[in-house]
Amino acid sequence: MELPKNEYDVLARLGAGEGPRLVPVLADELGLDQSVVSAACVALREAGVVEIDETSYDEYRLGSAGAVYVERPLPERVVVEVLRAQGGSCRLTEVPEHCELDAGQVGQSLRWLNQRKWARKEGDELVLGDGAPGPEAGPEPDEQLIKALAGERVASAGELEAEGVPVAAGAKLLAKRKNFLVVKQRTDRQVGLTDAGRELLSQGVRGRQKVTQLTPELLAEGGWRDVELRPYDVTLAAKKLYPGKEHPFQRTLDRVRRVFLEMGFEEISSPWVEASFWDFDALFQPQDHPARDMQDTFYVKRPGRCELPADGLVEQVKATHEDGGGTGSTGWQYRWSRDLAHRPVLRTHTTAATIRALARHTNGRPGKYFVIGPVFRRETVDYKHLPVFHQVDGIIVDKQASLATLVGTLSAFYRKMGFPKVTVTPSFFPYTEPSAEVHLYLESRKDWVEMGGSGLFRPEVTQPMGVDDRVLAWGLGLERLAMMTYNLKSIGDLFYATMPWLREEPLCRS
Amino acid sequence: MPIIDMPVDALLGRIGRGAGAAPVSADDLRTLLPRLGCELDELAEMQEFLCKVCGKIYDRTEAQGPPLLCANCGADFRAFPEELEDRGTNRVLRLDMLAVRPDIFDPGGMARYVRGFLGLQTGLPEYVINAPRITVEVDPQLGDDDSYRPHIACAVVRNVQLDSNTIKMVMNLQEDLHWALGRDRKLASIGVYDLDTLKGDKFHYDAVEPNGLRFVPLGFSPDDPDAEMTPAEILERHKTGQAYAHLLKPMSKYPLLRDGEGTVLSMPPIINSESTRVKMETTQFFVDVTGMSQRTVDRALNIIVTSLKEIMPAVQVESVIIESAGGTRMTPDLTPAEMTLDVREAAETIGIDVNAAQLAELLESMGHGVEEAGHADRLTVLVPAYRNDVMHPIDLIEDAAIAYGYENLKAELVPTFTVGSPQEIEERSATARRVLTGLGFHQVMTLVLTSGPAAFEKWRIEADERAVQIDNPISVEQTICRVSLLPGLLETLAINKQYDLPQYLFEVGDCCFVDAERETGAREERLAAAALIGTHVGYADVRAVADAFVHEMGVKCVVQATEHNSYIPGRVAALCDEHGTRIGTMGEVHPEVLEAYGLKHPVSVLELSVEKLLGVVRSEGERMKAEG
Repeated sequence: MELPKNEYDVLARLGAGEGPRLVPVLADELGLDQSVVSAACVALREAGVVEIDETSYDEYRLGSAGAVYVERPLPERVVVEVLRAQGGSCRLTEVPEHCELDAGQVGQSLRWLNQRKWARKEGDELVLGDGAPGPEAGPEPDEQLIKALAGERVASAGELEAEGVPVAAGAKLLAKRKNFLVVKQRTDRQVGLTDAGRELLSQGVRGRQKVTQLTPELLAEGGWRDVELRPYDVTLAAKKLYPGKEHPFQRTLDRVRRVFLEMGFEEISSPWVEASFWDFDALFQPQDHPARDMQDTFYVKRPGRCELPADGLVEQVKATHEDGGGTGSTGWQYRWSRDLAHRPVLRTHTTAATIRALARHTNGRPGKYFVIGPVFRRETVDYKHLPVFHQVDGIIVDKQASLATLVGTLSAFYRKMGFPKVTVTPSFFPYTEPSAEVHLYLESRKDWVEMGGSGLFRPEVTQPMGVDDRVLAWGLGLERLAMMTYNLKSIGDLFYATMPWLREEPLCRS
Repeated sequence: MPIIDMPVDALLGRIGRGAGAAPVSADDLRTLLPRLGCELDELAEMQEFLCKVCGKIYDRTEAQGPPLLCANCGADFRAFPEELEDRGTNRVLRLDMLAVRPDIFDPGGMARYVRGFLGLQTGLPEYVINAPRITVEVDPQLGDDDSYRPHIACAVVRNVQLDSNTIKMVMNLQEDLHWALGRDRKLASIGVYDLDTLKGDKFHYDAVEPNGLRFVPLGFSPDDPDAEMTPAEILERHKTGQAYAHLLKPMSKYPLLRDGEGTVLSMPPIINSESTRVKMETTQFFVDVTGMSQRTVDRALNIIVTSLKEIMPAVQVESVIIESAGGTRMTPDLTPAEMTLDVREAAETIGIDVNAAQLAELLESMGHGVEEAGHADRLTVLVPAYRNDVMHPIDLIEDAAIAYGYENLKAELVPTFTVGSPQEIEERSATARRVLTGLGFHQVMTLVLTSGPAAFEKWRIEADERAVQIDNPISVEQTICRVSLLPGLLETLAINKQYDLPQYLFEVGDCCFVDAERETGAREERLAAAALIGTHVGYADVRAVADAFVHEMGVKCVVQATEHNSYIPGRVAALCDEHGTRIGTMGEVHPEVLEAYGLKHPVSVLELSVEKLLGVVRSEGERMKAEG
């Protein structure tokens, strides 16, 4: 049989044959805290091996007012002495002249003189009473109790009675006086073995220690076998841990990128500072188009000028703008300026990258390209606009590119992005024809939202680039997608992130 | 995209019903319009207000409230509230429209479009134009650079019967064309006048001196002694004149349209005269469009006269002779443009099986005429003169696709096999992010535009001439492209001062540098940066991060003491590759920089070039066509 170490120690001490013991005594003998011994005793009683005898008693000590009279007599005792010296009576007002009491203290003593029948008032005179103690009489019970509790002593009724102090009478007298005596109820716990306990001891029992931390020492010396590992409340909360994490928006960008790569696309890029030629002219945007205004587009002061590609390509684009240039189009019917095409802008869309890819593309071969990156618009900052945001653009060059395959591609793309319900409606974009607007069904909102445009590049765009096959194109802004994914109120929350959001936003969302 | 308010009842009334078909309802329009490429914003109740000065009617949402100023005549309703009449509510469809189809901005044109789509009225609509009675003579000076507005097209519209609804439609039509085609009156502006106030059959479109004559502009009473103004005074004093003054101010002579007896009709593109304005009793219009582009001017007039005919079917349109230095012509000219469409090309582009007859039917339901096809593989299509957006047969193909219905297309993938390929720098950046998150850092993404004070002054360094500079910034906070990731990291620390320390942040992203070697004059470079803030953070911590990062990325670096004004002297190091080329910097940030960001704890940072560290070359923009 094994018991926890403390319980075993208590049991063994009681088994030493010296009979039942008080808890403080046991604690003293075992060198343990009283609370530890108490807990062990309670556990042992539960097991039926000890019994605990509880005895209640009063414990006395002097209050702050009572402690004053350890060194000096009670005021009524002083007054009695004065009366006796004055021949049995004295004018009340003259009493202070014969002792150390002042008029107030004499006045207060009258209540006690009267009660004890030590003196009484007759007119102005104070006269010694019948009950007054004689000169040879010893101290009264209350006086004895005060003396016995001198020196801040704390004592039980039993102890004081054993010393001959008339505790009950003294306490009764002092009870009426404020702050003279403090009485507390105490319980003594006397612990003794039961028959079962004796039986257990005779059968032999061992003690085990309880420990919190399993230490290298306990493991090294095998000591862990003799101790009990204290159980924990495993339901308590632990401290918060935050793994280092990628930004939530990065996770949106990664998902888009993965979808394109899985669909067999080649990743491309293009410079932030871009010639107007690639950002606008190559996409058949006329040079007086409002999108090219200083109002909407950031023009670049440094560097001041971009180079244009080979003359043949530039001439093709120029001709297409002016009169269609053999593409079958009427063109825009104006004089195209080469100078404006040189002007550097911060690219306004990632389509600048896909049109560059188209210019590099070998005619007649299939091709799939995508780009993810920042684009720049001259927008005033508000909760949904910043002058920089991210776009993704994808194009497919293919002999079988058609509006029907565009719809199929968009459905596949958005399904992989997590939006199984997709519809497309007619729309208008300057460099695609036919054009289509994509609508996604959001389970979270139980509603359709517009998400990006798409279409087939106009012949005025593809033919000057030397591409005869049709080209599917689509794109979307990624901040809006991220704001919906992460329930953000403002686009700024992405780029001015707070630590709580970076730390708490989980990597996975259900 | 601008919002067009389409009055529901007027539209439904003009769509009507076909033989035996149920009438179209507002709810039908909700599902129908998106299929036609019109984004429906909402079906709304609008409050109608009338400008009692010029008769202009406004539809306003509750949120917009009453107009403060009349956009037409300049009346100030705040100063003179009695000039604005509240005329109760009506229902409108609020449509998000693009400028390419101004022919469907009014209930007349939109009803024509819907009737075609529903098959109620297909093929090229016919509009009769009566013979001209009025000639407009154009002053050749209007072709000069200092008074340039040479193009004019006019029409006469007789047998007009106006009520408050039609007058509103006419005014809105005019205004919508001003922004959609006219680029806010710059390329083309429109005037409509009461023909009964005009005299003679020879009108004059001239260039006049800014102070050459006086007339009473719209919105001023002829009884007012100050009402007569010179063109120059109108630009100074009249509300509308002030708003559009920028269109004429650079010129030395202003355009002016007058009748046979010298009565002023208007000073395009600013304002009409008061005496010629259209009133409820008006029964005949004179219409003019002037502008800088012949094509735009003609299209605008074509849209106006055909839409007026749709709005008020009883009107008679009559042409006007325009005599100019370039020759004599008659406007409006509603001759349709002819375009040849390859049937197979159309079917393949849409991805459907259609023959010539079926394709012709689709095009006719979009309002095009199709001539009897001689060849079964090609159609000759007649494009209505009010269409401004048909430049190429591809535009007809889109019309056919809309008529076919996008929702009826069979969605499929292109069957061609291709191999996906990532960019190396993106793959390497993903690894860099993985290393830094493994070291317990949180990624941030900060704005790539910044300013000189934020990028240099706060960091106690000279402005970097390699920074790309914006010519027309929209705010002082975003004037250059970033050349370092550190300002973004410290700004993020600054907004997170109240949260638990330590904080470890990083960013992997592009910075942009002017580079004369490049085709565009600049290039991006992929950088990585990390920042640590905490009570006991110091050089040793960031050095440990740098060592771990470089090791995990599979390369070696040499650390050398260096000097840098942004760091505490003696606590800053350069990271160099094995050849001694500097690829980055790390150290303890100077207290003055911390003060500039309001940071109360020490910060150590690291920044290096991922491209230089790994020797990755990015040259996407310059790859040549031959390779594929």
